[in-house]
Amino acid sequence: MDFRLNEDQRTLQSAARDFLSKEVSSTVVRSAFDSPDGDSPELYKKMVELGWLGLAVDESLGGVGYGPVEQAVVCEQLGYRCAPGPFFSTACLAVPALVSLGASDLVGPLLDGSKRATVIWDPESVVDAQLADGFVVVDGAVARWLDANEVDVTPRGSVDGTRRLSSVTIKGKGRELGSSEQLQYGDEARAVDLMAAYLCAELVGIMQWALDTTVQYVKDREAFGRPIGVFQAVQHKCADMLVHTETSRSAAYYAAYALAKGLPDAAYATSVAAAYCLDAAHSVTGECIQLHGGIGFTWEHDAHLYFKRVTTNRVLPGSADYHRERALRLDPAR
Amino acid sequence: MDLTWSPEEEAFRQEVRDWLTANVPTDGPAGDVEEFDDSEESFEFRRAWQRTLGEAGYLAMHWPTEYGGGGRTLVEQVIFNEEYARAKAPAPVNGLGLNLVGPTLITHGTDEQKSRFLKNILTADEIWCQGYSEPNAGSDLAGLQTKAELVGDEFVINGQKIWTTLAPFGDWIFVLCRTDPDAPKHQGISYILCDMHQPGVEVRPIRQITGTTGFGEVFFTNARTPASMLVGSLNDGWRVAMTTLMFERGGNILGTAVRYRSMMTDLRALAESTKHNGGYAIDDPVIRQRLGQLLVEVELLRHNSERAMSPLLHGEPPGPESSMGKLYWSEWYVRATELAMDILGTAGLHPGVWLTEYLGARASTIYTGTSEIQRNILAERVLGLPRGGRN
Repeated sequence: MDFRLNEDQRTLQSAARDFLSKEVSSTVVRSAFDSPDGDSPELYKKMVELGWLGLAVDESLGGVGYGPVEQAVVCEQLGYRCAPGPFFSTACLAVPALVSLGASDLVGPLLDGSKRATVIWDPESVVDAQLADGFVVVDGAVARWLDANEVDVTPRGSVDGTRRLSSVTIKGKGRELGSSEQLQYGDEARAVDLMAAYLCAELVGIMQWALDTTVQYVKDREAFGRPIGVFQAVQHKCADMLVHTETSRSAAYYAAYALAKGLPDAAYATSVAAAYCLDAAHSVTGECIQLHGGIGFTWEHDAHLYFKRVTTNRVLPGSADYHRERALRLDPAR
Repeated sequence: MDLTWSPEEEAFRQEVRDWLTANVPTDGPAGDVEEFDDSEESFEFRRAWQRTLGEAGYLAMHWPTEYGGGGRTLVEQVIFNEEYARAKAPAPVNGLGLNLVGPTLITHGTDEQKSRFLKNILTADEIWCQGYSEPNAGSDLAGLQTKAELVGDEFVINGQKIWTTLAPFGDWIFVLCRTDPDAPKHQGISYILCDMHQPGVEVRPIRQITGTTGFGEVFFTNARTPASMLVGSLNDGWRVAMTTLMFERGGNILGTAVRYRSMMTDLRALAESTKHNGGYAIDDPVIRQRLGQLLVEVELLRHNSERAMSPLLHGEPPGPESSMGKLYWSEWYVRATELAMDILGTAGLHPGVWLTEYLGARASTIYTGTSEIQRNILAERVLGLPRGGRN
């Protein structure tokens, strides 16, 4: 019994932390946020070189051959820096979708960075469609692959400039990939559960940043002649942020572990994680703003970047309400 | 990450499970909520159960064998506690002796104290009480005023303790006393053992919101105890007491997770069997959301606990998650019992298991450090925020 990351996973974690702290400053995030398309091509190229696009993909398909826990480790670190770019849409949505559909010829170009992709469930809101060269489309019971020339992408203003949602008009028939079952929640774990678990891991990193940043601020900021961190009203909010963050970490990593091992409770564990993390991240990043006071409400402070990422992430994998209901339905003790 | 148990560990689990299946009494007085049943019958039932556990070698698993304990490794204790909770086995009667004063004596006691007391803790021939809280010293425990003065070769104790669990049944009490009134408040405290059967010690039961009298007040009026009943050094009692609190707060977290997971299953069954607006409560989407949230949280109590245990099982210091357990489960417990009452409606207002749990849950966010103190600990010791309005 050991919940701790193993040595390989810890090595990957510290490598990812070091790399991202060097490469993804607030300036990098803001530059993508304010750019026409939200892209961060230099960063993306380096992530491709590190093999991150195929961390959980089998070596026979050109991946690294790790699993969902290792990918969760990297997603957490990306969340901590609010990293921009189409890593999420490509590595966390499209790659697991294509692998599960057995479309191995389409996976390679995503891993080597020659193409980027996303998944369409609802054509009115498609994650980072403006950055995609290909699209996995859930079309009723069937999944299809469409190239960029088979769709029209209409950007819409998006709350998070680093994770944008666009409308997509589908013009072509594309290539039929088979049943779309893997991309829709069921009673057993499917590719869509992996996507939700990666998103939860990213939320853990986001919460950790909000917690660290808030703790530092309340230690430094003085009011009434004392650091505001001495006040219990402030301390207790920080304590609750800690509980939310650590519990989310337990939730996200257990889900990734259960999916990696193919445990019978993997689908349940994913909904447990999503139900908890989606609400917890909203609370933690909201309290981060609250405890910063006025500065937390400014464009200048980074708190809003994380709050907006959470606002987007909260609705992507199905709502917390949906996952509470699904957890209740899948409760192994029912 | 590897959340599997070794074949040896699984074998031990099976052995424990088999024994508990065969031996956990099913005919005892209701209630594993030990603090809320004050009847003589319940007391004697749990004393007999403790002795059964002792004879089978399943008592004090965390004590070294040389003192009559199980001498079990931490991983075995964890497995045992999980199975114990799963079997819904009643708590042994002398919990404060087994979990608090026993380990403290093993760590800090003299040879004389160990040979005098440890055996009778195991056999439940002497029931122990904890003399910590006072009317004016609860969360601010170090503000305690009960005094002990060394007169000849005896301590003379004067003062009052309160919220003393099992006080009406107690034989001995470990008392935190002020032995140097001039020292700063955390210094000048001593940890002293005192016989409760003497004219200078008077116990008055306190009736709780549950209507029962499982705890009480203990008054000391020139109570006497030999100087050899001091545990640790004179005026070093705060440090000794903190070891005790660590035992109280740290132990059995996976057992707690199992216990509340089982309560969750009962709560769901309650929703499935309770009529509600022409159907059953489980059909109400609002009730379902609340059940779903509690289910999610109780699953995560388990994973938090596994995470908290992991470094300890591998000889490493605990991480931040280990300090959250008490706050997390006690607040969950309150919310779960509130939902039970909402499901039951007027049917919940009559004596019953859920009413007892609902009222009883209100103690859980207070004892062994209130939720407010738990949050202070997280903020100051884990997050490193500056210490607040206390010193």
